Amino acid sequence: MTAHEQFADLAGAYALGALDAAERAAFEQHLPTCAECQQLVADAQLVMDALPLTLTLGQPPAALRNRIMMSGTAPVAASTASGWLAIAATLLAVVAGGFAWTQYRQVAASQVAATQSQAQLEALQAQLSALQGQADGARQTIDILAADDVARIELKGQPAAPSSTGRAYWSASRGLLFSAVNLPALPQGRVYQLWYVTAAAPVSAALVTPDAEGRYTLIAPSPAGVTPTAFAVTIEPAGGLPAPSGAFYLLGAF
Amino acid sequence: MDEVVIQRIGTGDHGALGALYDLHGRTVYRLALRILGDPAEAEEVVQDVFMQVWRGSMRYDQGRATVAGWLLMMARSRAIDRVRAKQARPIGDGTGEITISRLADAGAGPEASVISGQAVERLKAALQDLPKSMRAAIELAYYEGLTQSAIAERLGEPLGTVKTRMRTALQKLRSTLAPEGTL
Repeated sequence: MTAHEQFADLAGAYALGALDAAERAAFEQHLPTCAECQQLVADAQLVMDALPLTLTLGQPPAALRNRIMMSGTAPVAASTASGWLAIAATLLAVVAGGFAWTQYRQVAASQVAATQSQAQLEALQAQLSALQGQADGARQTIDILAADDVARIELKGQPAAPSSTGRAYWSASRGLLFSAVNLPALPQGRVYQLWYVTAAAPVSAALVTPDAEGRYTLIAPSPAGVTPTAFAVTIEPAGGLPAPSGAFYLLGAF
Repeated sequence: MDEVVIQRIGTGDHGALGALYDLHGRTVYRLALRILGDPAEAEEVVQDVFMQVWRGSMRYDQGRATVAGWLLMMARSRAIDRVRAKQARPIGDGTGEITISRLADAGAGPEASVISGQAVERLKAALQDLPKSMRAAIELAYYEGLTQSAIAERLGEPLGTVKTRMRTALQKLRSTLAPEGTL
């Protein structure tokens, strides 16, 4: 039996990591001297690379890609944006990523524990797409905050709501990030409406329905052809109107 | 293609990370899931692998493996480590440490960088055609990280038999991939 024949049985197992320590050490001494064994190892490696391609079970959730992309964003955002905006973007990415991940783990744990009925799977898919929405929102937020053309506009409470305040980050290229706090509870049949105030007529940005504590947040793409000079929030009939008609609650100009 | 993507990731190109994930994320995930049997843990392994690539803490060596083989090797190693960490007693050669081999420096470089869909179908069929004991030997080694001795113990068969079966099985499987390789 030649040296090669002695070792040929070990080559595949070596590639698979299936040799005992002593055999592995002996094979590693032999390998550099034997082209045939090198070929056998390469052959086994090719099989190992192909084996996972035969697996058909399991589909990675979209949230996983988002999580990887979001964790990958942080250092890039920090290097291209400047000052506190970069810090805010980085922190937001971390916080949003962590939040989505914690929630996802809970969902995944419950998936394993639960019987996988169709209804449960559908509920799970709905939860996952909600999480994906949150991740997308975080990504959009970062894009806006890190945009070269972003501007910050403070909105002041008007006589109808002196303690209310709002803040808008506006980027013509990336969109609008708007938040408001201390908005008074809405009377029945009324809604707040956010406006882009332009040199021409105001353009509706969104209907604003604050939570129980008077807070509201909006992320929206920038509408084509709209160049705002100010942002305003008014109170309007339910469903909103094409032009403001009610009292101003918040107002802020560039 | 893969090598270009890796180079772009090295320059901080965020889009390239997405491209790499789109190319290989699903296979890496399925491998981790097959080893761990737990979707949440499989995701952690996938995230860990891609984050290490992004941060450059794992360097790709073109001479040693294809990009896909490199990603799969990292995922397999991490997933098997997790399984072992959960087990009360060390398995395999008793060292408790992962010993997944790579191509030795003196060995041949990576071969086919792309394995065609037809080749995968042939491989699937060949796996099904293998005698059960032969398939078990390959799967216990690849997915569970067992050594031949541990496999012999698990299957209650002589070590020599396991060695022969593993070699024969690898040859049969390799032959299904022949058109892309160098055989």
